[in-house]
Amino acid sequence: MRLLGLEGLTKRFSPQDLPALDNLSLNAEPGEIIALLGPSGSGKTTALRLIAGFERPDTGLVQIGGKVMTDTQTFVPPEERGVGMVFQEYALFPHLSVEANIAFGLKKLDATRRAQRVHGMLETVGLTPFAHRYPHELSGGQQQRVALARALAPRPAVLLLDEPFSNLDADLMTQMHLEVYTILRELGTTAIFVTHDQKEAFMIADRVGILNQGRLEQIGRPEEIYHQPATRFVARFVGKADFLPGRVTEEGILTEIGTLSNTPGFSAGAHVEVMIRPDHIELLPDPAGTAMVLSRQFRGPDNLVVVQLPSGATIHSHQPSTLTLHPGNRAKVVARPAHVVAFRATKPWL
Amino acid sequence: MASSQVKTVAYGIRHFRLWRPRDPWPVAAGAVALLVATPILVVASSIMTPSVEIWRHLWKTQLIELTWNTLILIGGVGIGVTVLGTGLAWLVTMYRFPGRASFEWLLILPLAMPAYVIGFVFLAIFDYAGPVQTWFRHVFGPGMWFPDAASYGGVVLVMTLVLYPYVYLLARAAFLEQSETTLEAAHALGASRLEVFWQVALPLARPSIVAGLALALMEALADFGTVAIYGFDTFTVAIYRVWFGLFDRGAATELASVLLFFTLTLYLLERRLRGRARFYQTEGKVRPAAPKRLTGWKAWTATGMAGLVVAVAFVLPVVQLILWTVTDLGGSDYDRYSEYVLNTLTLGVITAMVAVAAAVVVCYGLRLSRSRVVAIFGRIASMGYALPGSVIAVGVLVPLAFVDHSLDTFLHTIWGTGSGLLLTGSLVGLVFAYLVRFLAVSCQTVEASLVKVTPSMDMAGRSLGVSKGGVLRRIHLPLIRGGLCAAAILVFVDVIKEMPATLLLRPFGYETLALRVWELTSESLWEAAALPALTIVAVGILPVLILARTGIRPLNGKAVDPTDVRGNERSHPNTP
Repeated sequence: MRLLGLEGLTKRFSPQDLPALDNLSLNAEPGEIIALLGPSGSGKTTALRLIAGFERPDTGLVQIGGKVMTDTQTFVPPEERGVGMVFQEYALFPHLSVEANIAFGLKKLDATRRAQRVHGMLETVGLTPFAHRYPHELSGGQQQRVALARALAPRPAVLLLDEPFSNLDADLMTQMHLEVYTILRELGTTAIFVTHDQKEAFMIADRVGILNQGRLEQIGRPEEIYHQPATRFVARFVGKADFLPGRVTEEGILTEIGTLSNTPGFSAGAHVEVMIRPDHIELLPDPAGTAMVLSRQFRGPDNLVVVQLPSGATIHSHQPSTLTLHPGNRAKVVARPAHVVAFRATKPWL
Repeated sequence: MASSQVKTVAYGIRHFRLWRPRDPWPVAAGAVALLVATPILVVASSIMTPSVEIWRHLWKTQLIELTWNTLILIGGVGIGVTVLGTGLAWLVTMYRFPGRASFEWLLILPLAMPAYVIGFVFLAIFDYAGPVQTWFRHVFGPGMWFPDAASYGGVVLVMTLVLYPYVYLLARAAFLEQSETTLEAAHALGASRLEVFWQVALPLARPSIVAGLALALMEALADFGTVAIYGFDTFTVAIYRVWFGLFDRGAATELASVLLFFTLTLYLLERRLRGRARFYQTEGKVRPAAPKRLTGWKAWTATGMAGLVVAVAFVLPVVQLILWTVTDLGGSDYDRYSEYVLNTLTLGVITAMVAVAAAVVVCYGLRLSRSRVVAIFGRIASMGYALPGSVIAVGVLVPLAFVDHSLDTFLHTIWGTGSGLLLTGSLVGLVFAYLVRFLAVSCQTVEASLVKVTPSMDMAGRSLGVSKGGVLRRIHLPLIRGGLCAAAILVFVDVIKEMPATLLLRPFGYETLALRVWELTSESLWEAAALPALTIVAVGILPVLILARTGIRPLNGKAVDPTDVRGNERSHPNTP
């Protein structure tokens, strides 16, 4: 069963430009949390605006709870869609108290039920003592909780969150990630949230969709996205990735750092590029090793080491904090990928 | 390929956003803007369809004189306000002298004084029969020569004295925006303070100064009362004369179209420069240059110069008006004073409410819509503030008279009795003319407050199940209340000062304060005109106070928008 369905959504803001959103299709199941992840200008906010009904797509369909909201004939205005929204800058109504902000979307309820609902939401987000304060009297984290409570109070079918954490400082952000996640899970809310931060997407979402120049490059569980990226763009965007040329033989994929198993199933003789993540590379200090350490960045919990291979290619490696390798040292490179990911080479390698 | 053509057409249809059944706001905005733009278009269209006969007549009689007078008026006032406004702005931003802090806002007080008020006061004081010349003759004998007060020079002087604050305000804002580092860099390169002024500060401030100059000259072109009592014929006087003296609407319209041409030139100039010139506000980021302390005779000269301007342009006329008012208490016109006040207030309040409501519709419609058509009408409608009242009166009367006449004839044929002058004979025509003239004033203020409400507020409201109208009512209007009040006050005051449109369009026998000033001063009844004039000046101080309280005080480097009277600490809790 799907609660939210997007089919072939395309939106151009002017005929000569590339589409801001190109043929996006996506389903969300009840209670599912989906993150749309992409760099700025990738079309993720446009997607939210199309779902909420603030833009009309050129083509495509938006369906919420089995009801068509947007297609060639229909266009349901935002106020009738039952979609909640949380904004980057929260957009709390400055002239209304916390309580009145939360009650804003509850006009259809009678007074008693409205008061009950507001009370319940205040409790859920832990702001009961602040009910009569005004937004400017709250901290950033509290404002965000009010924004969340306000959006959830009318029991929307889908909650849309547009970069909801980007205005918070680092400490508060981690805390709010957990809090928002707990609240959404507790209420069983279906949510789509937009972010440019892959860590955030991985932490909160059941599934992550990667957008690039308006196209959905891949959608899947965070582990899939990280370990089995479908495209080079995804591989690079969700973490550090180096690409090493390889040739497919009967034994596996032959590369400069060893032979890797041909799990993707390329035909023998094919030229490929193998994706290497820093945490899959082990460096063994060895004066006779083929790799030379170029640089080392101490980062507290670990080191990021860059080594150069005989061919001139460089690869990154995460090494323990206690590492003794220094620039100029030689090392032996051992690759232990969790999954072998490779793409057909653009240039043949000999 | 055919399919790509079909796609292009389909694209065009989907994106033509003027008419969407569910979206009445842009339509309403477009309708209001079109209504307000109509009189402007009427006058403009008479340039396109000139009547040869009328033009030949105008050419033979007065066109050359009018054009020449208008040009030298603009020239004289232009030089006067530029020198006075820029000089005073430089003085108060760059130097410290006794009373500087007070002069910063005292120097904008003349803005409260309509030119026709200071005009008649000066005429009364300095004319042949006035106290000054009488005294001179008494002391030096009857042969003593004295410059003629009712002359070109007199008109230029009084207009310069009340219009220089436009240049002063914008130049001052521009000088404050020039960061200390820029000017210090120039000093470090060996330039003296005077060289810095000519080579750095003045060129940087030029767009602002020219924009202020354009505003001042628009006012000069719009003026009717001053030039009329000084006997200096310009287009506004000629329009009035052919309208009431000759009842020649065709000629009045043609004259109005020439005046429209003059003002449009200024309007376009100001518009072009507005983009670069910032008005009453400065960015918080730059540190304004620290003023240099003047000492000794230099300091007192500076105080004396600034004080002289305030004294001549504001204190002297106000004191004279008060003296006359006291002398004339219980005079012939005194009994009807409350009636004039009531009439004036009625017009001011009605127009202020209509103009603010119209501004809300237009600004909210523009906010919601991407329609080009609505935006263009909005642009035309906002030209009204540049147009003289007499031009607008002509443009309003022609279409309204047509509607009146058609309606009257139509009702005659049905009921046998007509409606008479339903629009032109009532306050409707007058309020409409004011709306055309001052919609831009209210729109600018309302829009300035509306843009401070982030678009996410709209989206938050809509996603919480509230319609566009509901969002306006429950979110925007409460948030921009301060801006709405400021807009209403500005329009109210402008209506009270307005004279030419009121004169041309008032219902028969309807008297306002400004009209009484005009009627009494044209009969040289200075004492009787003092009370209504003083009342107008008192009301005119309101917006100056708003400006002084908020816009004029960016001394800590951070100016507040003059439109946001309530303060904006609540409207943006999240921005640092």
